[in-house]
Amino acid sequence: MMNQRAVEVKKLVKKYGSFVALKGISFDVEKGEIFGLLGPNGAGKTTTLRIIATLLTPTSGTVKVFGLDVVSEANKVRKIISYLPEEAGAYKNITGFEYLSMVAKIYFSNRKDQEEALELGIKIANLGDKIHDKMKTYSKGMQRRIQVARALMVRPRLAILDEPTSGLDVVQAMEIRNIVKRFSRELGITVILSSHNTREVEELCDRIAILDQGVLKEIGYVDELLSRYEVKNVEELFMKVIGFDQTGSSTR
Amino acid sequence: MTKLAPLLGKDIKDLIRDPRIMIPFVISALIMPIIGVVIGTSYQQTITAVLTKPITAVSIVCLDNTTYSKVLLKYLESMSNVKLYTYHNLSDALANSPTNSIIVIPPGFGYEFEHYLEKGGNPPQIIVVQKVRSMGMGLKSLRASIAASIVINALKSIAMEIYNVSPHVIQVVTNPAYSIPLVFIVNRDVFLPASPQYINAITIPLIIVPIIVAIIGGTILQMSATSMALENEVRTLETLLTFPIPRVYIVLSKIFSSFGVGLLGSTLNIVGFWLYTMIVINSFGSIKSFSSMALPRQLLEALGIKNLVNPIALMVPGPSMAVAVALSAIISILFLAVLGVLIGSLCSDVRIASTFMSVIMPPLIIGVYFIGFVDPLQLPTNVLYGLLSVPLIQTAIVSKLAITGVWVEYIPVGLLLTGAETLLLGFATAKLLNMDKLACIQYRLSRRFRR
Ligand SMILES: Nc1ncnc2c1ncn2[C@@H]1O[C@H](COP(=O)(O)OP(=O)(O)OP(=O)(O)O)[C@@H](O)[C@H]1O
Ligand SMILES: [Mg+2]
Repeated sequence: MMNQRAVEVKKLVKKYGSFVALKGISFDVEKGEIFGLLGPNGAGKTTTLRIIATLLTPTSGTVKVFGLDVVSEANKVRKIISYLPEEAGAYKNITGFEYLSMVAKIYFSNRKDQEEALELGIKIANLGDKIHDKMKTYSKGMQRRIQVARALMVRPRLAILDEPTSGLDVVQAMEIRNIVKRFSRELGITVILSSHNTREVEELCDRIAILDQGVLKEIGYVDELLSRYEVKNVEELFMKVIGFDQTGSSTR
Repeated sequence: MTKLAPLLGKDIKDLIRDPRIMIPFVISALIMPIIGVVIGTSYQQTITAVLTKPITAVSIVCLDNTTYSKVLLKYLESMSNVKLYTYHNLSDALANSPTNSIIVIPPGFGYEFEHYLEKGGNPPQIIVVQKVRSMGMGLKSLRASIAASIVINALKSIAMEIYNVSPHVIQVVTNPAYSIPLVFIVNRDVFLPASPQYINAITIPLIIVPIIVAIIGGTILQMSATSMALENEVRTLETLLTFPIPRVYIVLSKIFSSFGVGLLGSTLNIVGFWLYTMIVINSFGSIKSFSSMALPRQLLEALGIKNLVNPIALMVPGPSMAVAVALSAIISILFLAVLGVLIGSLCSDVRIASTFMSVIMPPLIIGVYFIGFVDPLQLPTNVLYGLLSVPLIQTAIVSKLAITGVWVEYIPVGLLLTGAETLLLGFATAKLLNMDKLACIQYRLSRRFRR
């Protein structure tokens, strides 16, 4: 198919026991874009991303990644995606280099591909000589860089990043954003990421979706949404969409 | 299978480089022989000090004035090798006597002794109090009976004089023959000496194999559980689950890595434990008072009792038994490794996993230890078969049977069963390794534990 979508989510429902975390959401992610899922705590961002990453199965509805069903064709989907979990940490006693080379060996069978991926990973992580230190000596920012490098170096068709900058200071967060922006373009990787940082989404994403309590409230290009809601930035947009008025009390 | 290798490499490196894992191995391996030396030498010293050092002074509290008490007192006073201190009441003696052994001769003693000499019946009583300020191994109290023997021997001499008998008659009457108890193990056609110093040694091989297996198994259980829980804690399991590899690889990699590293560490421990056992046995065996009654080997050999062995030698079982023990041990350890992976994957962090471990480990060790005291062949058949179908317990029983060389028909069935149980548990674990189930269980567990 020519204009095949990177991700197609249709009427997605996810229940945990009797609790409904996703109440039938639908959206698409276009090939090559950086798509942001924005939402407050507990909105269902992680749940959505885990379903796309084949970790959770939908209660109902369908999710397709480049035309492949995440349930019935999970094994095929896993070959073309990579996933960065929320709060991703690292193995303590192996070095960044060893970790990246393990991942290269898992994704690629031939030597040349493995070496290329490893080289790319080292370049993305940009840790200098520290790449040969055990990961327990890494700061949170360095650990995250290794994880992002790991996710991008295998040149997935779709990278799923759950709050890639959470818990990092402004400088580290900026570096991660730069990595994502630069390498997704250079390597032609489609990215879907989640965040509750409105500035981050504004800076990084082509299109965004606003999720709240398992419901998709709004979706569209950042500029288009800003002008439609007559607001200056995504933060104001976010407040308006989830119904949070300026006096500080929720109208929900 | 080529995709298993990089995973395995990562797991092994992560475990073996973890100081929290390797340091305890090394420390306990080193500490066991040291404990052996400490226990052995202190036991030896105490025994020597308590049993072989003669008593040179005793205190006597004589509360009786009848004839024989006076005779006794006079006899004791005349002894050249024991210095006597006399008191008129116990509290005075307790407070002031320079000796630790105090002998009390109760009122009416002399009269009762006289009665005993003439008519028999119940012997008269003396009381010996041993003053103790601190307790080492509780052996100091043995001094009391040595002190008592001074009085008893004095009374013996008095009685011999009265009846006009020579000492050897008394010796013959009280000790007419010396017995040499032996144990004959039917299936292995060997004899074991059954005297007290060997009886201690016989229990060691009975529980040593299961205890070793329990130690290794426990270590590996802990290791695989911790390493799996850590994958949850730092969210690396989530990443692993999105890799283009079969889930079974994740489980296999954890099992093999903890098995390998655990075995390596446990080997250190076993060497340490072996040294400990050897040191302790040696120091017990070299105590004079125990080993003085040597076995009359020539006599026994003349009677055709040739294969008289040390109980330790029984630890080398016959070939089919050895195979059964080894197989059972490996299966049990693998089972525990899988169990560890299962438990670890359910725990969202290491703390919860160690809470689980602290619940699971003690019954495991106690169960194995308990088997050490049970005679498997005395159990009802279906109970025995049931126990032979439980990993680890099976190893304990089979190694016990191996010592006496009893082959139970059910052993191969038991091995097949535990093997199947291990595979099944592994399969179930791999099936469970999906976020739908894990997230749900972890979510509930971690909420319960946070309260
Ligand atoms: N395994 C689970 N069992 C039951 N409820 C769950 C489970 N996982 C998540 N939830 C609930 O589902 C809702 C959505 O969770 P989710 O983690 O998807 O939110 P989120 O948008 O990622 O939030 P955050 O910004 O805090 O990461 C929350 O209310 C959460 O409590
Ligand atoms: Mg989340």
